[in-house]
Amino acid sequence: MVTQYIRKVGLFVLSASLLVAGLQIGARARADDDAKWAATEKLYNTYCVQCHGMNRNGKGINAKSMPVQPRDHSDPKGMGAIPDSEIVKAITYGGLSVNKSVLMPAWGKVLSAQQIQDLAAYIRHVCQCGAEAKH
Amino acid sequence: MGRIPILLCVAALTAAAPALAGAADGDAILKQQCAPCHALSKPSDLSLERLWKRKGPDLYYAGVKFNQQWLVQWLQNPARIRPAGEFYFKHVKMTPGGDIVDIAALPRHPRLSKADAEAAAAALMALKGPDAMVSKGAFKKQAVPALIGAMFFEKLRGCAACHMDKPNSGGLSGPELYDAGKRLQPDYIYAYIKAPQRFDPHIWMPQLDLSETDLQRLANYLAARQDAAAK
Ligand code: HEC
Ligand code: HEC
Ligand code: HEC
Repeated sequence: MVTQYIRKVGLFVLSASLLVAGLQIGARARADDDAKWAATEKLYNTYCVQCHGMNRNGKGINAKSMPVQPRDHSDPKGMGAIPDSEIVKAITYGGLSVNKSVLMPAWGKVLSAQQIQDLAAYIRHVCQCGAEAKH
Repeated sequence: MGRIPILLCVAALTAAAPALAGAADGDAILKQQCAPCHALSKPSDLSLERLWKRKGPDLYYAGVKFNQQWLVQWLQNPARIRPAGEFYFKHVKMTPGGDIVDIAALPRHPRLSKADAEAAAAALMALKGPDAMVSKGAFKKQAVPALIGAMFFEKLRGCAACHMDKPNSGGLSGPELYDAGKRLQPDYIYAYIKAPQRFDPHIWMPQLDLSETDLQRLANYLAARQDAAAK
């Protein structure tokens, strides 16, 4: 009886501490996730927000005067249709290189290949769409 | 009776330090009034963090960038150059229709008296930055019809996404350029378009693949822009 009781309490304590540990792992994973995106988010905020907007929806401060609307990066449908390779190419060599508008500039001489890869992955993260899982 | 020695004393001091009493000391003005916001010598830290933190554009190469006459006038009567301030990201207001510039958040620029503006402008013109930042004579003056220039700037090369080449027409994240000819030296205009990251390694203007013909055409178009601000 007593041993059974002790075993129950033990199980309870064990499962409770597992639960707490699980929560902690979850929180840490989210913090790692935030840290992972922080540097890339800063790049996006510096170079892309001027046209693609604070909400990543193509409505930056420059967009009003532009004859071609910057791409809505928050739109899963539109972004899901663009393959990863095209995203990387568009950022590196500009809109013209993928038969899109010249108003999307080339960033290949300002950002490193790694930074551009990170931005492409970040855009997938923003739209929650497309080939992120396929990497 | 007691006052006379003091007066004499002041007279003697001013005679001994003519720079203080007569013409304003440009270097002193820059150090005291401008250094909090502007780099007057090349910063050792040129990181993206620094660019985010800086409170005003760098002036350590002002002598190869500005026309002195424009400086003298602007410092007495500063008008907005960057429609979204320095730097744009800090002055964006989100609205349901999209981002707009939060005009109310843009600070007013300090204003100088005529004498101080002349002295500060002269001191700024002495700041040349490192050698080879701007090569002298790279700009080749040629007649570019304004319509052709505007077509390249606005449509073919996409510059108007970020810059206004006419008052109230163009993007807001880069400096207005409709009076670039009054404000900027032609060799600087050429050098900047060719390699913006030479002036700051992280500045948010792209370095585009432009041919020499393109560079000269765009620089000549801008160097001829003399419009007054539409304010
Ligand atoms: C000067 C304004 C401007 C800036 C700055 C800008 N973009 Fe764009 N971008 C555009 C425009 C306009 C389009 C739409 C082109 C079209 O649909 O023809 C676009 C489209 C795109 C596309 C979709 C390309 C495709 O194949 O459809 C991606 C991806 C993109 N931008 C990423 C970025 C990233 C990342 C940055 C920052 C490093 C950035 N853009 C900065 C204007 C801009
Ligand atoms: C509180 C910060 C602050 C102080 C102090 C300040 N400035 Fe500025 N300055 C700015 C900002 C911000 C801009 C950008 C304004 C714009 O683009 O509309 C600017 C722009 C300028 C420009 C034009 C630069 C360019 O690249 O277009 C000059 C020249 C200048 N300041 C000179 C001075 C001088 C000289 C002083 C000292 C008398 C001074 N400033 C003091 C913040 C400051
Ligand atoms: C994505 C936005 C963007 C595009 C596109 C762009 N610029 Fe810029 N431009 C900037 C920014 C930002 C600066 C510097 C801002 C600062 O130092 O505060 C700048 C600076 C300049 C300057 C120097 C002006 C000054 O006051 O120092 C010139 C000249 C210029 N650009 C010309 C061009 C031309 C020509 C094109 C097209 C080939 C172009 N820009 C395309 C954003 C842009």
